Amino acid sequence: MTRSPSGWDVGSPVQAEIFVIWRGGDHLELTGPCGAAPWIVELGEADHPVEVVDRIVRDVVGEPRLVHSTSWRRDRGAVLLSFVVVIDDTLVGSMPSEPIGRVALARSEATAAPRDIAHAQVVEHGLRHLAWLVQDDLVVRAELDPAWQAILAEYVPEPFRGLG
Amino acid sequence: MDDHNTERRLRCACGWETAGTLDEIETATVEHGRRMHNMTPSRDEVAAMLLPADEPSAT
Repeated sequence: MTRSPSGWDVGSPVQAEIFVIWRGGDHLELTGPCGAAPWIVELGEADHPVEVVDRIVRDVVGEPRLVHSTSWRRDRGAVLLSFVVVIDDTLVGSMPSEPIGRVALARSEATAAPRDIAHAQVVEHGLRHLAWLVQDDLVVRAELDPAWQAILAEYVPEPFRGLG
Repeated sequence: MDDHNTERRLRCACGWETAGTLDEIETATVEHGRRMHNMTPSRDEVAAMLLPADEPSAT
């Protein structure tokens, strides 16, 4: 589902962009209550971004397996914090879902952010981030089964970085 | 013309839509905003985003 530019929209200066991801057999899929698309959430002055994302995912989708911030960028007139949220396949239900394909990353210049960043590139970076975490972080590794780890092994590990 | 009883429509950028009177739309939109987007729109904000009821649906 594509976000409607004419619709009522989140307009806060800091926003979370949630990518809900699950494993469908030997591949990963993007889903969410807003479709296979970014799920935009307002972050208020007093809000802790991770707590808000965790709470809203639990409330709308169900208990997440992982909630992790993987990048940030300037977009939509706001600072956008991107989150990868891993859920079990049992939570997908009737939510639309699409396989995640591989794309080239949006690369920064030496001292400037990329001019344009597509959602697919944010997901690609998020999964590379997760590929790094699954090697480096015991908590993340414990939450992702061997099939998940095998899929992530195809992603070049990459730590957190700002995308814009 | 009574704005409170006129059938209108509101569309969220995420694709969600609701239709009804201003009161009905406000109730539905506040619930959608709170639950799905961590935001609570005021009645004025809801009123400002209303579309005519015959506006084509986004879906």
